[in-house]
Amino acid sequence: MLRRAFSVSLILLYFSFILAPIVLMLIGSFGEKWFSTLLPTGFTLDWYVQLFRKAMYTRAMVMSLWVAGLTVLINGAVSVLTVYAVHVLDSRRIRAAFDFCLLLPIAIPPVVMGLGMIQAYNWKGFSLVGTWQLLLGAHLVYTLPFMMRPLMANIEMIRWSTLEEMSLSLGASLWTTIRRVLIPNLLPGIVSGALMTFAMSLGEFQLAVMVTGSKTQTFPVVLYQAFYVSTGFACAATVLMVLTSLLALVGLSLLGRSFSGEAVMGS
Amino acid sequence: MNPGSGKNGVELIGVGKLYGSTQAVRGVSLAVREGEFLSVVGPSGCGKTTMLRMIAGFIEPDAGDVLIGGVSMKGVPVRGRRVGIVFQNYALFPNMTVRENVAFGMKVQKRPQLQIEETVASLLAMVNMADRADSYPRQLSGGQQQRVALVRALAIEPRVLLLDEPLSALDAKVRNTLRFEIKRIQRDSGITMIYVTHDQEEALSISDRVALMRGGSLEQVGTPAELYSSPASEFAADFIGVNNILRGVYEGGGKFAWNGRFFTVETPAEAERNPGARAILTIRPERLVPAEAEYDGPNALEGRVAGRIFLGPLTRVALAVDSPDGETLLLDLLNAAGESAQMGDLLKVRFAPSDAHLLF
Repeated sequence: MLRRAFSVSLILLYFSFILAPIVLMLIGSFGEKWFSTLLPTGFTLDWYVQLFRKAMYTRAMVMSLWVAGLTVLINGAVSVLTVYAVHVLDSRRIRAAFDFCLLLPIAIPPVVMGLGMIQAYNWKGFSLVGTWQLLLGAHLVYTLPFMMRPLMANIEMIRWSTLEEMSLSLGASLWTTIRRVLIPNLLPGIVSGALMTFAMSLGEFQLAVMVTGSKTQTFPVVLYQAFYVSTGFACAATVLMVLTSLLALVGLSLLGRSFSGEAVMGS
Repeated sequence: MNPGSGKNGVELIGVGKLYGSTQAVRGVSLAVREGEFLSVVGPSGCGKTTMLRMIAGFIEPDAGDVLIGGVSMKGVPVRGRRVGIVFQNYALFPNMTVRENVAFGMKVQKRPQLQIEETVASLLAMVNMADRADSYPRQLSGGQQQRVALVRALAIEPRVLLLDEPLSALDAKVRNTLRFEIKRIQRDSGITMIYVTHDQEEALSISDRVALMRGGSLEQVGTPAELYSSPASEFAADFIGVNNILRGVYEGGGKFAWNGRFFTVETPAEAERNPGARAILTIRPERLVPAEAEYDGPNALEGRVAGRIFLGPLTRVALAVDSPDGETLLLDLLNAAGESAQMGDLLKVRFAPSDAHLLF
């Protein structure tokens, strides 16, 4: 009984720690004034109106979605091919190299990666710093392990090499095998990798702040600047960010489910 | 006539495969007749699976050639060989139902839909899985999954069916029923089957012929009865079934000397060429029979019961023979006799000269 009460209160504490700031932001975004009071005073939708009127914020949101979307697509394609190759080659050395490469982006702090990128891609007469392409590159590297890991676990769980041999022996071409057997059975890994990667890219701040320029800022970068405008405005921007993120994640997982549902029904 | 020919026969000619510095398969030549059930047995690492994978086309041999229906398979990819395969881990496609799994090969071949449906239905009925057609593999037991995998491979009307330890992941009861189900399907369909297993008992019970492998080479090929009663080597005598292996000297004239005793044995004529040679006498446990105390004919042995194992229909007794090396012989006694043999009892046994097998 006591233990149950303890664990319930722990869970409540955890959720309030995570959710309380977001709830406060939600309340703050509708408040007229929030200055030296516990909760804001007055009700207004003005902050949201302002948010959508300012090109800097809408452009940043579009940029964020663009970069995050491309990160998911490119990393997804690269990861499926890589994981497939590493699994089928079945070499201990290649597997060790693969595992090491996956550790690197996690071991290197984003600050270090960002500074390194500025050094590496900033030459006289030709600089990538300030372009969204460089940010995309940075996000690709940064999120790659989180796409690869679930895929690797997935392909190992289904013991792909035997399935492939089976499909070939039944007369299917490699392309048919990949389309009809590999992709449908890899969907759970693809979806969980995509969710992770999208969320990470969308919310990533350190790399974005260092690598982007005024025209290519992403939403987290302008969100940080919003707090210098006013609290209510910043709250509204934060709420927009959280909502976008949630909607995108729900959308992605629904998409994944409908695809795997289709595969399960059999084409 | 060449036994490997026939449109669905398989022939291996001097097939070899090297992995790094390990010779996984060395110069194997073997002909499998059309409609034959051939098992390949041997300890793990003997090259049996590598051999099977070379027939399937997953591995290209370094040396020699694989012929199916008399045609060389050099450069023919897996999907062009029309060879059915059954793996130990079933390898059913998890995203497809039982019906879709079985239909997969025919769909790829673009057979008419009606024909696919009819074939799937009759194949599933053949293995009693008709009522599970819409289940997914994860909803089936191991035995059921392997039944589906079996008919999925048969659905493409393969010229040869290759089975790689198909029953090893199943528990004993299922293994036994499925073993005979495979045999029945093979007999009814007349399909050529090559069956790889490490379980020699399984191989003996269902095969027309058994190929015993060791260290990448064929040790002996023959009918189950031949391998059991006339092993070609000590390895074969030891690997197939249970055996008593007596190391001694062949004295010539049908006399075998072992630990100061002399046995009368039946010998092939060529054995007379080397009297005085080291030799091995193998006697199956069921060929050692109890003798009366007053028996004074040839091939009698006396010892004390040093151990007994109850095996159901019979009792296996370990008999410690009075000899300098303190050797133990195994003998199988039908139960009435087996139950009366108690630990420490003095027991006299004998064997007929024709029941022992001499090896040089």
